[in-house]
Amino acid sequence: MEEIRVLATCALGLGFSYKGFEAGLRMEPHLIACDAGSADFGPYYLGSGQPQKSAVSLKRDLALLIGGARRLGVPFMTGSVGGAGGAPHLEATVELVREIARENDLHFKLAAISAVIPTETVQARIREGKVSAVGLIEPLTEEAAGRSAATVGMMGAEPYIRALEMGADVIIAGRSTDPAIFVAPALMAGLDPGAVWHAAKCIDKGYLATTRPQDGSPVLARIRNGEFIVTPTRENSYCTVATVANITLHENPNPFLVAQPTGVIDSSQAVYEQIDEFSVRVSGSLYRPAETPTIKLEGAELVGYRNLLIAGIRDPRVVPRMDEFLQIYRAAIASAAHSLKISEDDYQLQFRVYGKDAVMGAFEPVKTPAHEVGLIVDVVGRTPQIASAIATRLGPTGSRLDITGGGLGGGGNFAYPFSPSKVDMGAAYSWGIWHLMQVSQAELTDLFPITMYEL
Amino acid sequence: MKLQDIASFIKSANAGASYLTFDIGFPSAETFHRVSGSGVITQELIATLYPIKPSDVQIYAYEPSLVIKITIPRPVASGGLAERDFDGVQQFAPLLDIEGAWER
Repeated sequence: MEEIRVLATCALGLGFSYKGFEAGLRMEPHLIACDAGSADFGPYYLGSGQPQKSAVSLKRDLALLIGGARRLGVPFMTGSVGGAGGAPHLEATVELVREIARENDLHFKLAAISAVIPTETVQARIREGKVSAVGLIEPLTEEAAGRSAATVGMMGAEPYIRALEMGADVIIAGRSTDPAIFVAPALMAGLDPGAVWHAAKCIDKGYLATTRPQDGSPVLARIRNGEFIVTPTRENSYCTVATVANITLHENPNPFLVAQPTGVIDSSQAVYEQIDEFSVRVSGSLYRPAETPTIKLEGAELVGYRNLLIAGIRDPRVVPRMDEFLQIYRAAIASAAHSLKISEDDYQLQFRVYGKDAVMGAFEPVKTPAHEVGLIVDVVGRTPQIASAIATRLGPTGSRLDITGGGLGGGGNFAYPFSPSKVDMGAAYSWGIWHLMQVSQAELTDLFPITMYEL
Repeated sequence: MKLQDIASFIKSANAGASYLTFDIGFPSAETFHRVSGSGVITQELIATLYPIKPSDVQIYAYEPSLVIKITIPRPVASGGLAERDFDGVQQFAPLLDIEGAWER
């Protein structure tokens, strides 16, 4: 019976058990792979081009993974590199791989797969009515797409398969769906897609499928037609039905259906069996092909430059009247902006009141005020100068604002923990694009250009 | 009996930037079935705890890991300027005190 074995670690740069990895290599995997990114960290990394993890931690993991793969003569793949999987992230990761190759005298074919989607492509697709929102967010307009600082599409399995066909030994890819990073060899071997995709989904978080993630065990999926077995590779680590089944549940809207570019991983009929202390067999998983392939787009929009003011308020005459205080404060800042000839379109002001409703906002059911509150005033200006100009006024304007009819006596409302009280947070981004784009079969590969390097 | 006293854990997280998902875990198949079969956790109940429409609430009884999952949409994608909790991990408090006749 044909079997493809995939060895997976958790997020690149988070580390993993060295002994567990060596034990995993002895299990003779056909592929070594790991996921290097996530949109969970917010749009800042995509927008700014900054890597989400340090080069030191990435390099440690990459050196072990690539070294192990080369020793066995099997492919190594990673996707969503740099956290956000954009162009600067891909470039930086390719550079780390070059360094590793040089330092260890390793020679192999490297494929770099781009996930950058041109704005014109997205805009043309919007005109054709083929771009839709994920969830309840606003539909995407051509204008909004044009404002994106960086746009990527989550590639599926096709570019990885193409890179292997081109002879790649090591594949470094930009933004990908999590399981797509793990499926190529098994799909190419003709194994049933239900087992292949669900197995990939169960191992794409590495040690999170074990009972003690802190032990850092890599996991091995043994994929066959119609079933797969998940096993930890480190001694004294365990996978259980609950820990394996939990991965499909984890941070997904629907635990039974996980959408991919070309279909849906359907685990609603899956049967999980604990076959020994460590391992779980899963059967009955399905992959339901979609009529039209779709690529999920992510785009980060620069919305301005952020400055914060952080202050505590302890006055029992003010704390229960925060809504009123903030309304008057906001109007006073608007006057100050006006006197500085700053248009109200050039800045946004938010208040977060810790001790009242900062964490849950409109969802907060508790209405009783605390005895003190932490106030974060957040101004985002179109330019750093605008943000700074408004922020400079925040302290004096708010601290001297007397809503007690003279009781403040010229004192101050704001207890500043820090000097300076104003904090420059730099560029601020939002998810300007979080939408699905219909694509053709050919575009599943053509939208993700591959560059080959001989190292 | 309060949900937090029969569940083994209650947590929230973003499921992508446009959904918020809650996972309620149970210590045994028996407690999982007792609560998921009791008809207490409904779309209408969740819509009284969070300002959303009942039809926007998804509820799943996930037997393989003994978890009741509830997913609701976020009207604004996470990570935006007005973000309060960009991982969505501190949004579960209203679920803790859900009452049900779950005593044995």
